[in-house]
Formats: sequence, structure tokens, C-alpha cells
Amino acid sequence: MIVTQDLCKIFRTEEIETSALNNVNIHIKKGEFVAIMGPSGCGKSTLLNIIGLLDNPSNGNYIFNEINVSEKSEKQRTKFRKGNIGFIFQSFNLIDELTVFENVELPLVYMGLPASQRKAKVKETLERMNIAHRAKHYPQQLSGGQQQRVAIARAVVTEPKLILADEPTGNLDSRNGSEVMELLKELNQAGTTVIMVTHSVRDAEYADRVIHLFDGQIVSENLKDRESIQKAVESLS
Amino acid sequence: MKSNGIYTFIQTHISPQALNKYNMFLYKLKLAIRSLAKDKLNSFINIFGLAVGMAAVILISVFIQYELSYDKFNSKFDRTYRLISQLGMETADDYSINRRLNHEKFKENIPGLEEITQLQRGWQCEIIKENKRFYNFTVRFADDNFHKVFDLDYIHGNPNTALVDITNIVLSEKTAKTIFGRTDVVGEQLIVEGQDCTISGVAKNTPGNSQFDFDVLAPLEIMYPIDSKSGLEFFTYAVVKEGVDTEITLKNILSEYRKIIDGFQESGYKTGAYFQKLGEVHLHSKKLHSITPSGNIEMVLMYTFLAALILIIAMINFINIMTVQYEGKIKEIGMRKAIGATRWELIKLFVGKSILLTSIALILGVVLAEIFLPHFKNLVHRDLAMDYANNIWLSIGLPVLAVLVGIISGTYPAIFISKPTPSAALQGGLSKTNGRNALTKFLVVFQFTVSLALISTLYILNKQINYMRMADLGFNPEKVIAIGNINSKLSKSYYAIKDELLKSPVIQHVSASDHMPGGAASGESFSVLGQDEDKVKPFSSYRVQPDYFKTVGIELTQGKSFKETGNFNQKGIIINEAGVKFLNVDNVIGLNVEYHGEVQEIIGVVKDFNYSSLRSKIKPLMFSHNSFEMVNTIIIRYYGDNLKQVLAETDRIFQKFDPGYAISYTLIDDFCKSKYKKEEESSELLSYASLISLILAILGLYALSLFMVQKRTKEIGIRKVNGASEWQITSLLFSTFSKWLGIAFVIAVPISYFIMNNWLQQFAYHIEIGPLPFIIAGIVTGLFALITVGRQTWKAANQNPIESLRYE
Repeated sequence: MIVTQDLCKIFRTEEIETSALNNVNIHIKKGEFVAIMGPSGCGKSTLLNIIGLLDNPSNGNYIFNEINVSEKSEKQRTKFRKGNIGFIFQSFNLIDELTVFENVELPLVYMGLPASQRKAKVKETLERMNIAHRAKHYPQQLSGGQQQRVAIARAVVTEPKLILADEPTGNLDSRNGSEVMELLKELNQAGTTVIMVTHSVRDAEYADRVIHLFDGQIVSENLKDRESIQKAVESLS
Repeated sequence: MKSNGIYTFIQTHISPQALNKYNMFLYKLKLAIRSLAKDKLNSFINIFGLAVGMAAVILISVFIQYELSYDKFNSKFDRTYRLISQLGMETADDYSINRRLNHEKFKENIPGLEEITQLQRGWQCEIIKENKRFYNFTVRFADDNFHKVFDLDYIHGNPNTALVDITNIVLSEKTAKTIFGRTDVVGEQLIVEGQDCTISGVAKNTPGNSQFDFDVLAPLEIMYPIDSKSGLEFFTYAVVKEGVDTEITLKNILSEYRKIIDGFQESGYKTGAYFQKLGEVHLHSKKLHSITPSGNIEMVLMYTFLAALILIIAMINFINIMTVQYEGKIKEIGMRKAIGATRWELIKLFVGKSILLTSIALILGVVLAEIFLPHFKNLVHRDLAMDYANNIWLSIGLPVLAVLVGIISGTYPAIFISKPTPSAALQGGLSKTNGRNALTKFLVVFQFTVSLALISTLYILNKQINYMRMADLGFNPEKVIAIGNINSKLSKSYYAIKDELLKSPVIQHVSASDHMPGGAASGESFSVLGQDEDKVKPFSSYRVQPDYFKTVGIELTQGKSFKETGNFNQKGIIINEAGVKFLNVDNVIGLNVEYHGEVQEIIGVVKDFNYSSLRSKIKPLMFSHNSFEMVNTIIIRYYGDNLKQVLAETDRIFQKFDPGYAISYTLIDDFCKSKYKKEEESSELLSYASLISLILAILGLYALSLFMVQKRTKEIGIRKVNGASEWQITSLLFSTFSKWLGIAFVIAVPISYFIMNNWLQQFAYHIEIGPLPFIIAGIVTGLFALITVGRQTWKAANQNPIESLRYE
């Protein structure tokens, strides 16, 4: 489903050039649950953004669903993204002025679905996320865990093939954190591909596979058990 | 080296505490300037907006001061009153001109009266000095005690005797310099309007804010002997003695004057009289005659209102932009608080910066005001000057205002911004303040409302002016010139001049009149024989020569015109259609009337034409050939487009009859259009005000859109991640502004409609307002808003969503 070839990303300011990704080659199959780990600044989020079609690579190819999307325009990327990719952020990124219901409805609005269909879909998703009773509330009125469940609801309401999560448990306590991880696991088991950036070894355990990045390069792949993950983390930091 | 010296001086002569304070001040000033320089665009918008507002306020306040200062240079200002006569058939109308009175007799009979004096408006005259001719001097006629009421500053001559001898004249300083090149000319001889005169005095020019002016002052006695019977001709001013009961004195003067004006009652007129304070003459004499252009209190109020409006808008912008700027720096403020700045210190910092900005704006405002002063002077027709040293408002008022604006506009954002706790501020989150949102909305709606109202008002105003200028007046004023400076020599040769003129291939028709075609008419009357004869019928009157209707292009609908007989004063009266209606008789042609003590016949009827202005309905008008053996204005209709050639021909022919003469002409078309000058001036003023307020509103909108985009950066990012396109984002952001624009529209339309509908009522002939002005105002404002907001929103919408979300 996802193939990258010699993916590079360079950030330029007036004076310095920083290489965030350096010849990254990954291959993620449909239905996989992959965690990306690494110290701060190693390029995890950059990689996730490119995979999520939020950003273009400076160099190399990115093949998404057998289509090379590395040089698509912003407009085309938006088109690809719509309904295919769901995002979950550490800071939830809900819109304060919209209710829970409206937040979840948002991607469906932009897909151009009629109101009746939207209503049914949002209702169903909110029930699945166990947050339906909060539909008329505003994000500020919810706890962190509830907010993240709303964010996940928003990510899955379009039934995307791919879910990208950027440290989804980063702002949550451990109980709420594991609830969120369970939800992601469920979604994965139902057939959705999940790629998650995380610092947490415990969260990484939910994944089928862990990719380790260091200074923009992949240093190890295919780690599954807790011990080897821990070892890899220690060797890097 | 020098600065080192100053530094040493400061160190040795100023106490350490003072020095410390001074250094602290310099430090703060440096920081403030640095922060302004960092945010150049916003600082520029802020300073520029306020400076424009200040410049407008400076100019307008100087104008208002000037308007309120009229006649105050007179030392007896507080005790001087102007006499108003009332006269009319059905209702007595007010006139600022009165019948001739004997000032000596008045003084004898009324103990509280210090002085009463009369002034006649006079005319443009020709002055000859040893065969050299000078034109266009205004000669006015005054009683010999005129200087005891108004302060005339004599440079040469004795004010007490200057106007006693009827062959004497007094020149203004300017006139003396124009004719002689010097002012010590007492005793010199001049020929004024064919009369030999001796100069008995030279007085300083009257100040611009005086209700009268003159080039030549001549004794009133020569034209109108003191006990002569007269119509309403003379401006009359009375000074009440100090320490007497003003009310009783004025009452006594009025009852004395009633004896004179009540003479009109014999002819069936209603009469009356009252006094007006000298201080009210300039601004409260709307429909009354005046010598120098009179002002109008409504105009002054309108200017004040516009100045206040502009200042308020500029201040609103200032507050908004300051807040936006600080919101971008909320983290820095949190940092300051964390380091230990108290809220009070932060408020001082903001207010200080704000005062610095308003001070810069004030300086820039003064510069702008100076730049635009000459243009503004032309616009309002006043000789304004900015005398900073002697004008308390300019030297103290404005700086105080600047500081005040600084404090007001600095305090609000300061209090608002310094409110969050340090940690909240550091996280970049502002506390949810719905109050602020409501205020922001109110401010934007207010600005939109002002812009919409001003633009639609301006549109209606211009449409009416255009309508009046283009209106079919019922006669043809194109290709007609009027020559007004006809002296007695030329007047006597009128028929010969006419014959000569008609020989020229470029001249079509020639006639003459005592009145300017399309200009003011005289008031006359006649009574219809056999139809309540004792009741006179008041008519407006034009005294004309044969060929008048052909020359001016007025259509004769019944009867005949005056015949060409080669002599003055043939009998017969021609009236207009409104006059026919007024007389209400079946067959008007052949009707006998008594006019000037003679029986005359109505010989013709002309189609109604607009002889005064479109402000009033066409009133009954009569034409007679009763020209008192002289012509006032010669009227020429010419062929083709070569006005230059026509003028050269005319000049040549006139010179044959009076060598050395030079014609002074008026194009009738221009003359008719110039009647709406006041409206055109208001329109010009209003366009400037609209332009300024629109610029300010746009600057404000720019700042607000910046603010809004900044505040919604995250939301934009989220929406984009969830599949929103650039267009969807842009329209989302713009829809907020459209909503505000819509609300403003709903508020502005009735306001503008109400004001302009009221204004239009003063014109007997006026346009209908209709929806167009409001649609246009909406489109213009909307378009400007779109351009301003659109740029910001489009930029935000095109940002990579990751950029937007990175701020988290």
C-alpha cells in the first residue's frame, strides 16, 4: 500500500539546510499496524506528514496505492487524501467553535455528502467510540481522553483505508492512553492500516512492526517484542 | 566630543535618581521604537491611519474655529445687532435689508441707542485714474457713522469726517496699492463710475472673517439721501449703549422702524421687523442676503460630525491593530510576566508605546494638514491659517488629544492582553473573552455602516447635482454670453452697438436686460383693472429689451414680443405660464393692468422656464420694457464654437463706442450651473470624508482579517487536513465578513435614506432615491473588503496545513 524510495526531505532557512529525512525506504502492506519511533527531531513527524500527503518530499518517490504521488500538487494531494486517510494528533486538533458532532461531521462535509447520510454516519461512529452522549458538547467541555476519542471518530468517520496517528496518547494519562490504543487496535483488526508515531514503548507494543528512525534514517525495522524495542530505544538515546 | 560633553554635564549636574529615571526612559523609548520597527507594516498602518484622522480633525477644527470667529474683531461685537425686515403678501418673509432710515433722528428719539448705521451692497465699478482704467472694484455705500459700529482701521485720513462729504471715497489698502502702488493717497482724485471723487481715507483690508468687505467705500448719502423713500435695500446695524436695558432699547428701535416699514401696508403687504445678534449673522442667516458668503450652522455641525466620525474610526483601528499586534506576542508577554513584570508595569509599557505612536501620528498629521491646507482653503472658500502660537486648540488641545487617544487606545489592549496568567500566556492561549469578540464585531459593523452610509449619500448627492446641472431649464443657455460691465456711455449707445454687433457673422441675436438670464429677478407688482383693483399682484420681474426671447431661447406661446422701435420704454407686459395660472383669468392677452401708475396691456405669454433655481417651483414672472433709460447687461447669442472670435469681435465693436473699454463677460450656461456650487462643495467635502473613512475602514479591516486569520490558523489547518479546499477555506473566512457587511447594510440604508430624503425635500425638482445608491455602496464596500480580506484569507488557505498546526 505504501512504498517509499530514497525519500529525502530538506528544510531550508536563509542560512542553514537541515536534512530531516535521508534516503528512507519503507514498505507497508495493507492492514498492517506500524509504529514509528525515534528521539525528538529524528524526522518521525516529517515522514508521517509525507505519508499522509500533507507534505511533499524534496527527493525520492512515494507510491501510495500504486500511484506515484511524490510530485503532486497541493490540490491533487487534497483530492487523494479526502476519504482515504484519517489523522489523529497528539493535541487532538478539534475546532473549538464546533460541537463534537460538527467536528466529526467535518470531513464528510468536505466530501460533499448529503446531510442525512452525514448524520447517520456521524451517529454511528460516535456510538462506536462510545461518545454519542456528548454529541452536542463543545471540545472544551470534554476530558482529554474524550477529546481524543472524538478526534479518532473524526479520523474514521469516512472509513479511510489508512489512519495516521501522531503520538495519539502523548497528552493523555495511562488509562485514557490505553483506551485509545485499544480503539486503534480494533480499527486495525477491522482491516484499516494504521501508522503511528510514538515515544511510548508500551504503545509501540500494539503494533505489528516498529520502524526506528535516527537522524532521518531508518536504523531498524520489524521489531515486535518489547525487549528488542527497549534495546533499540536505549541504543539510540 | 560634543555629545561627550553633554554626557559629562548630565552626570555632574543631574542627581543620580533623576539620571536613573532619564536612562530608564531612554531605555524604554529604545525598546518601544525597536518593537515598532520590527512590525513595520502594522506600525505604518496604525500611524498612518491615525495621522489621516488627526489631519482631518486639525483642518476641520481650524475651519470651525474660523466660522465661529466671524465679526468678533469688532470691539462692540456684543452690543451690535442687525435689523431684519419682514415683508410679504400672504406671509411676511425675512429680509436682512431694510428701508432707508435717518440715524441722527433715531439717536435723538431712543436714549439707549449708541449708534445705528446703514450699508448698501453696491456693485462692481470702473475706476479711472488719469485715463488709466481699472475694473471690478466693489464699491459699497455706507453712512458717515459706519466706523462707529464696525472697527475700520484707518491708515490715512480721519474716520470721523471721511464719509461726510458726498464726493469723498475711502479706499481699502489693497485698492490703493493696486491703483497707486502706495497707501498715502488722501487728497488724490479718481473717477468712479463717471463721478469725480476725492480720496478721504485709506483703511486696512477687512479681515476674512468679516461679514462685509469693500474695495471702495462711498457715502450712502450720494446714492440714497437720508429721508428718501426706498424699497428694502440697506443692511442696518444698531449698537446698544453699555449698561442700558438692551431689550427695551431694541424694542424702541423696532417701534421707530415700524413707522417706516409699515408704509408698505397701504399696498396690502404684511410687515414686521426684529433684531438679530451680530454673532448670529454669519451662521444663522440661511435665506437672508449677505455681503460676504455666509456660513451655515448645519454645515459647521456636519463638519464637526465628520471630524468626530473620522477620529472615532481612526481610534477604533488603533485599538484593534494594537490588540492584534499584542496577540501575536502573547508568549512574549507571558515571558515578561514570568520574569516578574507586574500587570501595572505591562499596562504602563503598552500605554507608553501607544502614546509614542499617537505622538508620531500627530506630527505626521500636522504635516499632512499643512500639505492639504491650500486645497482645503479653496474647498471651503475661507482664508484659513494655522497659527500654532496663538491658537490654544492647536498648541495645547491637539497634543493633549494625542496623549488622550494614546491612553484610551493603549489602555484597552493593555488591560486585555495583560490579563492572562503567565502560564496561560506562555501556552499562547488567550482566555475566552466573548466580550472582546462582541466588541470587535461591533467595531467592524460600525466601520462598514459609516462607509456604506457615506458612499450612498455621496451617490445621491451627486445624482441630484447632476440632475440640476443637466436639467432642461426651459430656455437655451448654451452659446449665450452676458456682458455685465456696461457703463453709462455704452448704455446710451445701446441701439447703435446692437446694430454693429448684428453685422458680425458670428453673432446671431443681441438683446439686453437689467437681470442676468436665469438669475435673480426684481420684485414688482401690478393690479388687474376690473378685477379687485385695490389688490396688487406681486410678480418677479425681468426688465428686458426687444429680441430677448430669441436671444435667450425662451418660447413665446401666446401673443407677441416687444417690437424693435429703437427707443427705450415701450408699453406692454409679457408674463410666463405660471403667471397666467396665478392671475386666473380666461383670456390673458389684452388684459389691462396698472403698473408703475400707468395702464398697460398684457401682450404675450412665454413658456415657463427656470429663472431662479431648481430649489423652488417656477413662480409668476413678468417681463417689461421699463428699462429706466439704461441697460445693465448686454446679452449675445453667437454662432459656432469660436468663443474667442466672438469676444474679440464684441470687444472691437464696444471699443468703437468707448475707446479703452474692456468687456467683462459671463457664459450663461456656466452661470446657471454655478447655482449649485454649495451642493457641489458639500459633495466634494463628502467625497473626501468618504474616501478617508473608507481608507480607514479598510486599514481596520486589514488588521482585523490579519487578526482573524491569526486566530483561526489552527482551525484552517484542521479543516484542510480533513479535506477542505482553498476555496472552501477562503469562502468560509470571507463569509464572516459578509455577515458583518450585511448587518451594516441593514443599518446604513435607512439612515442614509432618511437623511438624503430630507435633504432632497429642499429642492422643488429632485430625483427619486431608488435602490441603486445602496447597491452601489454595497458593491464598492464589499469589493474593497473582498480585496483586503481576500488576500489574507487566500494566503492562509494556501498555507500548508502542517505549517498551521505546527504552532501547537
